[in-house]
Amino acid sequence: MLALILDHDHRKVDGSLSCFSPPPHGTIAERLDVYVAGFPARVQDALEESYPAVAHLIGHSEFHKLVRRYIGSLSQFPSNLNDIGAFLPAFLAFDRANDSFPFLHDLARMEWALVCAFHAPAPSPFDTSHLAAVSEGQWTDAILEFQPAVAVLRSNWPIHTLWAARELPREELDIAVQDQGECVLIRRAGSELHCDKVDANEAVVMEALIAGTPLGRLGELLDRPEARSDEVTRWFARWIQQGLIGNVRLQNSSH
Amino acid sequence: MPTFPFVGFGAGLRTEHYQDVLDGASGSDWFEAISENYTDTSGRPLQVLERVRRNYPVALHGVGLSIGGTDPLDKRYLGNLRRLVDRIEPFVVTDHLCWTGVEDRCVYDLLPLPYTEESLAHVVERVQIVQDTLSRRIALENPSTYVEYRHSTIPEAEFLASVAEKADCAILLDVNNIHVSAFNLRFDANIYLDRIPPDRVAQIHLAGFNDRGTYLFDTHDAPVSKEVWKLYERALSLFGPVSTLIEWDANIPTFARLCEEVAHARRIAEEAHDTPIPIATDSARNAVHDAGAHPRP
Repeated sequence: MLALILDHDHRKVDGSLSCFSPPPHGTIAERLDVYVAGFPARVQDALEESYPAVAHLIGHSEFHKLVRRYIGSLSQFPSNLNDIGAFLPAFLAFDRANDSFPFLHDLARMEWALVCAFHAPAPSPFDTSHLAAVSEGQWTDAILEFQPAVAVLRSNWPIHTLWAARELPREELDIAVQDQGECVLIRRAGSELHCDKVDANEAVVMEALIAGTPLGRLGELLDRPEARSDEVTRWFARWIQQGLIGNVRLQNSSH
Repeated sequence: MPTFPFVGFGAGLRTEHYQDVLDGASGSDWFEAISENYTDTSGRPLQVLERVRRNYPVALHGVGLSIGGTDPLDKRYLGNLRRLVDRIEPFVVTDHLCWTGVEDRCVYDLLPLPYTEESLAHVVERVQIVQDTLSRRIALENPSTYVEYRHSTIPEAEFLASVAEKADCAILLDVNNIHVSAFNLRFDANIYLDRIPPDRVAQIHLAGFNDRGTYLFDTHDAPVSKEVWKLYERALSLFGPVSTLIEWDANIPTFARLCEEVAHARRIAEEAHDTPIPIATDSARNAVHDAGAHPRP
């Protein structure tokens, strides 16, 4: 029965008939179709909920076909349907949908990051006395720990603009995608999700800091670091004000 | 003899209605949350559930236990469920008499079991493990069924009753599913009700279905049908007052419309027992909380 549902191939129904009693009305095939048709429908609903922009931009029919290909690619299915979309960004990196929609992989990465941020633990209050505890000479070894719901993504595609377009009727979509790279910062304030475009340099820096790069190595990432230091200071102040920072610790220290 | 708290008439907690519920819109005595929507999140859904729980009794209703499955019980799933149970303190934890997949391939459906002595022993053993893990009784729901296995030897009602007695668990009696399955498999729904031990029924579900001509399809996307209301009346005459839930999971109506269905269930119960059953007050809700969730001896 499971093979029938996963293969969703009605031509295989005949082989499943023998273990079931004939129904009082209709046919076994029709009854089994409740399960056969239900499985991809439920997966599609779950994926539409996690990836509304992807689903909207490629259209219902193409999304339906994409879902079928995605199901066929999975060797395991998570026990929680809400997690079924976790592998879609990786799948889209190589799926033929990219031929017509080359931005899909990055857009999906962004949408899954939004899902993760939505479900992340509530931010812990940042104790600013931790800043005072770091002496001037120790700042090069300081590592910023960001709140669990914070994510930054860089893309060569206009992912924020594409994501915003999920609210527009498809016939009104007219987005230039080539050479229109965008970077986004995802964060949560209380239970409210925020997704904003950010400057590419800020995105590079945040990405490195989220990965655990000490502050002292930021110079390697920036053009003309001496000109950028005021900018980094402004970013840092905004990150504190927006509640993005959870902790500051020194390299090789857990505190 | 187990006893189960009567908490009145409830509705499924849906994201579409979060704000209505948080704003204090009345009409439901309690809410049922789908466990899997809250076990793997620390975000807004869990925060909302905790806020709802401050004011209402909550039931946790799972779809992923696969109590009849042949894979070992999922320890991670059970661990997450236990943590959620400890956090929310529901008045009941429920799931379905079914299997959902095998060898890490879940199909997110409630697949039918063959009803044999072997599967009975299998389910009983697994229910006992789950109850030990959760430190409480669970209730199992009768599924809506579209096919029957040739080698089943036990009618579903007797199977469910035997599981409840042997595993010392409870029954979540879905009256809509009885009606749907009775049509689909041509058995008598009233005889089904007669076979259910009254002292094991912890909760009743009511929902709408879709008539496909040759079968009824349990869609939970419509009002409760008059045939199911009638079967519910009969159930109440057999079981007495039982906490009752309206399930409406698709084509979700406004909260006000949903509460009209809840009110209809309340009116039927009041007529059945010839006594008014007002919407639960804060003190009644707190009493349920204080009574705990029918822990096992």
